[in-house]
Amino acid sequence: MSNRKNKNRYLLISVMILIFSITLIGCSSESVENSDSASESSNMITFAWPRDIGEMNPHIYNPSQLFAQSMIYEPLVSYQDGGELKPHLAESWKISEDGKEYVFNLRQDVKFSDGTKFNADIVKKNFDAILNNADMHGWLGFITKIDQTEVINEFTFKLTLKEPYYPTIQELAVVRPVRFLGEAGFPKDDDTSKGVEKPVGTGPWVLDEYKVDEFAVFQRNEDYWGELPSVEKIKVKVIPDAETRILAFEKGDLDLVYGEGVISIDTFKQLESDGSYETSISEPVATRQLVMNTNKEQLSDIRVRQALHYGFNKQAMVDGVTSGLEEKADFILPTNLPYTSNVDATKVEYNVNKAKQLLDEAGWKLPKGKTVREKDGKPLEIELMYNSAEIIQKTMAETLQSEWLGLGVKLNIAGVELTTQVERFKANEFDMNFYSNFGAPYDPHTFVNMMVTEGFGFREVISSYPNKEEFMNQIVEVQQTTDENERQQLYTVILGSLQEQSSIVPISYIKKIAIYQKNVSNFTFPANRDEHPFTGISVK
Amino acid sequence: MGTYVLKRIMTIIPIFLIATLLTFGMINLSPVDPAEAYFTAAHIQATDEMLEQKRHEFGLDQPLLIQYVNALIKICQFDFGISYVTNKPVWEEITSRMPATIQLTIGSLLIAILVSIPIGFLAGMKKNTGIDHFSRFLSFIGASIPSFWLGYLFIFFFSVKLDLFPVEGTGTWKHLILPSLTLAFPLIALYTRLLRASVLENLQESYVLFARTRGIHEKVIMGKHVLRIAISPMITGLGMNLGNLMTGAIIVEAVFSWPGFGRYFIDAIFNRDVPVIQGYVLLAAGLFLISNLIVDLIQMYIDPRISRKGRQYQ
Repeated sequence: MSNRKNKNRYLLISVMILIFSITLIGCSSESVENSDSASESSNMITFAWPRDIGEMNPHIYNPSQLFAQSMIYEPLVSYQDGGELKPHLAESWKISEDGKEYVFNLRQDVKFSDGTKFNADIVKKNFDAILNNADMHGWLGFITKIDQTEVINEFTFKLTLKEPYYPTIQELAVVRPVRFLGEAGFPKDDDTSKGVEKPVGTGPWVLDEYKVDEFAVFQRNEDYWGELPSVEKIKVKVIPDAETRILAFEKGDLDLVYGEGVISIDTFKQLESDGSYETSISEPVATRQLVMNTNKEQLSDIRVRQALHYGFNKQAMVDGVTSGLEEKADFILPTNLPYTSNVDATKVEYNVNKAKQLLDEAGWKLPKGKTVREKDGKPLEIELMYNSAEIIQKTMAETLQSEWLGLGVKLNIAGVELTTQVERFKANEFDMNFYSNFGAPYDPHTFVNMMVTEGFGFREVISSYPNKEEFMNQIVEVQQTTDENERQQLYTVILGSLQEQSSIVPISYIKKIAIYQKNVSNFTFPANRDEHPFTGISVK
Repeated sequence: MGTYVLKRIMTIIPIFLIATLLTFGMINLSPVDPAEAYFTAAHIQATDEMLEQKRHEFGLDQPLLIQYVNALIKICQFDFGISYVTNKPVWEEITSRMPATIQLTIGSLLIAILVSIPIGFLAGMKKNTGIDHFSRFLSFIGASIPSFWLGYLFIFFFSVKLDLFPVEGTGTWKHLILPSLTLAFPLIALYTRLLRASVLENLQESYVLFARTRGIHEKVIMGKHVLRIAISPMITGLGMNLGNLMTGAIIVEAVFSWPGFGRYFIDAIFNRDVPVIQGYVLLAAGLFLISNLIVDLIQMYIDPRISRKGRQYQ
């Protein structure tokens, strides 16, 4: 009796295990064919990205990935090397004398991927959808200044601003939110902030296949109005872990790894020296800066700030920490951005004696038998805040700590989460902080604008400037002037005085990296920091 | 039995309440503002107005108590809210990623059971022989190697060098092997030791002696009697670990790009996606409770002495 019961029991368990296994295999076999068919195409580039591409909606932010949005959707104006603004979906444009009216002549040969025409109506429809959620886009200056959008005729679109704002054309090059969704993509109530029906754009790529958190396949848009990409498909694999990305690359599963901070510096160096792969490093995309709160007593004296600048070996630090992946920076903004190339400022070379002398002059003396300078009995103690998840910031903070101790400055370093770093920076609860500018196509105007806007942390950076009022007026002026020469002059002055005041210390130029297999050619970095890098890329 | 199950299910309610209160409290103790985190993740320099609007949208401008009660009422209706980041219902986000995580969990449980039962059992029976030493070695390794590193090692040898398995992703049963093995490794270490100790203990029991004197074949004694009783602590362990496996898959999922919800949860923590964190914690609490309950039931079934003992004291 009990024997039979046992037998039944074992039978039951075996059957359960069998069912489990069959479900497991069943679940998976369906998708097998999919992934096989995708990898069959030889004219395809497979590359890895740390996150899922998100919803392909041109008008929203998180969690959509910029590079993917830029593959499907296109701007009126495109940002090219050196800050050159070239016609894209707009063939040409005219700006009125007072700098308030922008008339765009649109290209007439552009079609959306579903075959519908790109024209002034759809441009207006997109603008209106964006303006309906203007609060969400308040960070982008020209959105807040738009007064009217008008369709003049089928291919002419007019934008009227409330006040002149020169960066309008440059801001039209951003990846989101001013790119264009086709009619079929709009939801019933036209409110794209809640989602789109389907991703219909004018760009060179069309989303073909997509599996959340796994992969996305972009197919070449055969009816693309511009130059047709040479590869047929781009497959984006979602691989969150940097080491796994590299292992997959070494195995040959990936053709390309690209981005900022996507792999560790050591790995990059190792693969570079291996010789079996191609590597490349971009032009500077942003400057890593050290930002000082001049409201703090110790840092209110320009001599102290200069001393700190003189007092560390920038070249050695940047080379040592980034192994040459970043370049020592002399200027607050990379000089490949518009209006930034002819800033003249005295170069600060490493000079410990000069630093000590400046500190002495500022009244911070080193008492006998002590290692930290004092003034009126107070020690020279400063806190540097860094993002604890960023190894470069951490290592640099530690380097500065030991370098400045040699000067008699005690640097306390505080590692915090990124969001805390942003919050404390904005609330002025910091002595010193790491920061990096947005880069193309947002700068230089976004960067200087932060100096005059409350709530960005930069107001405190300039608060002890002797000519603060004048400086702030110049920044307001530079955004409104319609005279190109005057604008250039103003930028030179503004950036020059920022350099001079030493409250923002340029450390290094941040660059993007790419590693690819030998059969990939014509890889170029996009001039716009947020764009995809697949223009012109080909694979053998 | 029915009342027992009912009683156990009733305990879920206070535990759920405590879990919600704890997560809610901890999220609010953290100095990070979810609205700020939202914009940071999107690389936007948010103005104060934008922040205020987002806080309002998230309902963060209301008093804490009201926020908590509102969340609680919704949870009772199985509404876990909308994710701050993706703008989709949390429940949808979790259920769409659940199958992958469950697949991984079952895979690793199967591997853990299939490997640790024979090794642990043989190691107990043949104390101080080769297999015993091997099991000891295995458990040292399993207990001391962190799973992310083990994952890399597996990928490096079995995938990059030997090309037996894919590096990452899903699709075939081959994709499942390495992540399951990585996840199962610490369990194998634990279970072989548990089983070995329990077998050794049972061998000293008088029933084994009686069986031997009755002339029952050694194989039958071992297979039918000793193994069946000795396996009991291992099943308890399994129950404790089932919840662990589900939630502990986070690292393995990240290493192998497995599209489960552990990975999604990590992002949620960094983005302070409160509804997602809450939903996840509740689900994890539920999993622990249910898996423990199931294990207790299985145990009663395998070793009827347990329920008999229980009845004695009633």
